[in-house]
Amino acid sequence: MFARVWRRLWILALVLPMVACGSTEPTASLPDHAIVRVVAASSLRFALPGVVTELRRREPGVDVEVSYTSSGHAVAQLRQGAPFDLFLSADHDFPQRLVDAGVGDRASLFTYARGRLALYSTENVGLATEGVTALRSERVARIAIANPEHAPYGHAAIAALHALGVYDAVEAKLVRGENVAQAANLVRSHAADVGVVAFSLTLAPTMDHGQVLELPVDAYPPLLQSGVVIPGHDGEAGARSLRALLLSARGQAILSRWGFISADAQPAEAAGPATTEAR
Amino acid sequence: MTGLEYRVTTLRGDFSLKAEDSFEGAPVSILFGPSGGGKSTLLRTLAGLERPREGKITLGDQVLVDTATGVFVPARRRPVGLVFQGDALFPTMSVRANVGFGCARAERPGRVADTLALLGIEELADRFPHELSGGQLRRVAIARSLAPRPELLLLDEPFAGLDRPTRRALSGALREALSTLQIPAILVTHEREVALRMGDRLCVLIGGELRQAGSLFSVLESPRDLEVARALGVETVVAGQILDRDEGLCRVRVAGVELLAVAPEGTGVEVAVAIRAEDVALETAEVSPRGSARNRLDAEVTSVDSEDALVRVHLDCGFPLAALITRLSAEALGVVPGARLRAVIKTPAIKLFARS
Amino acid sequence: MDWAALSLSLKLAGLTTACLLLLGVPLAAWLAFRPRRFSPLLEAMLALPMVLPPTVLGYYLLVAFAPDSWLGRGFEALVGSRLAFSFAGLWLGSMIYSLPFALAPTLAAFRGLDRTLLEAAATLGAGPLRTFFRVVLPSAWPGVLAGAVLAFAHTMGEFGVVLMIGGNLPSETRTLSISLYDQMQSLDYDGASHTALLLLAISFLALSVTHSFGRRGAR
Repeated sequence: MFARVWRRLWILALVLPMVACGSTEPTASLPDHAIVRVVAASSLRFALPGVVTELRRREPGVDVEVSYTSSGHAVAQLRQGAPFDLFLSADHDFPQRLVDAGVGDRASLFTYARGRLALYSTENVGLATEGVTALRSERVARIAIANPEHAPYGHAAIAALHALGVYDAVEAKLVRGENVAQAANLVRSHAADVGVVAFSLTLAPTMDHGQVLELPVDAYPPLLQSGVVIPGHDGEAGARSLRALLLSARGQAILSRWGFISADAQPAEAAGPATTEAR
Repeated sequence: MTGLEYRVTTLRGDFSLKAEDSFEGAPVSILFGPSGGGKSTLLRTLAGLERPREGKITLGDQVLVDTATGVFVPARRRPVGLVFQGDALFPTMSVRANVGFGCARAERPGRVADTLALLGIEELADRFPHELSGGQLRRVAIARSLAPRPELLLLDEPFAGLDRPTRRALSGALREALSTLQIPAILVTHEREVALRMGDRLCVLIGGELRQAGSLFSVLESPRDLEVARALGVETVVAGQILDRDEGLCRVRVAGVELLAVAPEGTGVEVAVAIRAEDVALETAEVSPRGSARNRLDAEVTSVDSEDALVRVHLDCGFPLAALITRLSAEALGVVPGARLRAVIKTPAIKLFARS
Repeated sequence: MDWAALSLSLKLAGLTTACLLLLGVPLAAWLAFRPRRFSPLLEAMLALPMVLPPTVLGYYLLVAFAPDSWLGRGFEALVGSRLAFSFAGLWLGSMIYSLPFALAPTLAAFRGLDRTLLEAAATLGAGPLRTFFRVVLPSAWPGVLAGAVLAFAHTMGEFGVVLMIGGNLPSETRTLSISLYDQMQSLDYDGASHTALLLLAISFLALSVTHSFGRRGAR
């Protein structure tokens, strides 16, 4: 008798929440209030909100939710069936791999910007005076980079350090953040002395104390930041609108304001080494 | 048909229990014996908390257990009440709620009131267990088991941990309650005094085996063997009547012989008279006035048991009496079966137990 | 302050705790009062999530929830949406992960009960259910409450598992702890400190409640 009652409670305990969950479905099913779900590379953290605001202004019925993570992690989630409508990566390789695996609309594959690498430090470790060689000095004990396994900026950082001839000297000092924003965080919280981060991130308002030294663009393979539309979810139409906006002149202007280079730009047109002093 | 009949065998690890007994009506049976003898196990088996390996238990017309046919009525469906050694009162419930726990909802208020009155604890109804004294707790526990009006009441050492006055009061109240409700009871104890005070019947359990069962005095007077006798702790227990009392002493008649003893409490007439063999001295018979109230009894030796340096002498002085003396004395007095001697018992050595 | 994340965390923790009570109390009662030979093994299995690294659990959950698994397919057929990267997935993960925290104090409270009380109830004619509600629960409720509070606090603070199987979807799976992580990465340190303080306050509250009832129950 005891067992019978318990079995009933057990079933109740399982069914109840499923019903509850069914009722917590997002309101995306309503056609006049579509939610567009975007998974974007961490380097876009400050640039993308501006584009989203512009999209909302143009299409008031559209609501955009963005989740930031490393590009490789995003691919893993998308392959597991994560319900995103648009994927904005920090490179071209990841979206390509995704399309090859059958996720994402091949025709929608697009390159929206070119990313830049920079050195960032909150203390005076001599970036202005010594440039890249400051990394060798004893003042720099730890250097933060994004995890090269699944963050394109991390991969590029390794390449740059090799090209600049300092890799062997600094290899032991490297610490890895989960993505490029986390790497910037490590520097900001003084866990690391210098970080190799996305130039775009150094323009953020909270990053105004510190030294920034952009790395030469020919020191690393170009970060051709690309994206792809994931069809089959409710926000597909909105995703395509966002894609179009990113490629338009308005979108490109916003991206450029945040330190991204236009995708078609020639290497020579990219700005030379720039140093920003503490504001 | 009222009454209980049981025959059980239980095995638990390397402990075995074998017991068989039956009675009719509503007597108080004392389950008596040294610790570890299996008394609690037997009680629990009768209550339904343990399953016998083999056996049969019949209460009134209802078969509670019959291993031959696979019948086993679980504890909660047996009309059997059990008063646990530690009381086991429900700590979060009031006395009223505790006592009424086993009653059907409709009958609850009436039964609770009646049973509380029966045990003399009406004023405790709204108190909680942690506020009560040992004696009060025990009364509540008994009331709780009696309230559902069971057909059999089992009590596990109900007087353990209580001081003398509390015991006396409780035993009186318990006997009265059982008698009023006409409910048979089985009471476990290892104390002789409790048995003498409360028991109509006596069942002696030694080493997991029920050795002897029968009416109290018949068992005490005629223990089946020496082990039972030793378990009972005393050789001579007989029924007596108090003739009169005077200044703390009294005259007791036992089977036609008068003894002088310290008067027991109360005003009752029926008593159990207990005399330890160690307290009986022997002397040679001399011609002297009979009827002396100073406990000099003519006795004839019926048998002699030799135990190393001591000798246990069984006598007949109108009632069976045992004496324990040294071998030297026995030889000096010429103690042999048939010898006529005089038994001397000191007045304080005669213990009287009021039985009503 | 990310109010959406707060309400989501509260919803998740509340739902998980309620379900764990419904499921865990009978389970604890069964383990405590009707032990079988395999009960110790079952207990060890149920306690496993307590020592399991969250990422390991997250990995296995992700595999179990995948759209091509029987669980994922079944759920989708029943409810119409994906199990992975959904609130339902988080709930299921939280149930598994917080179960030992709900079970342990409850089980201890049941086991600490004087067995003769249960026997007394039986001799007075009470069946298992009546005994449970009238005798066991009134004495053991502090343990049950402690289990509920611990499960709630634990679910509120869950991070590793949610990170692995949640997908950080703002409206559905961005719990308060994920939001904190996100705020750090956005370099929104003000927001992050507020969120952290709130989580700290909740944990502290949970602990004080547990301790005060623990003392009361030890009467």
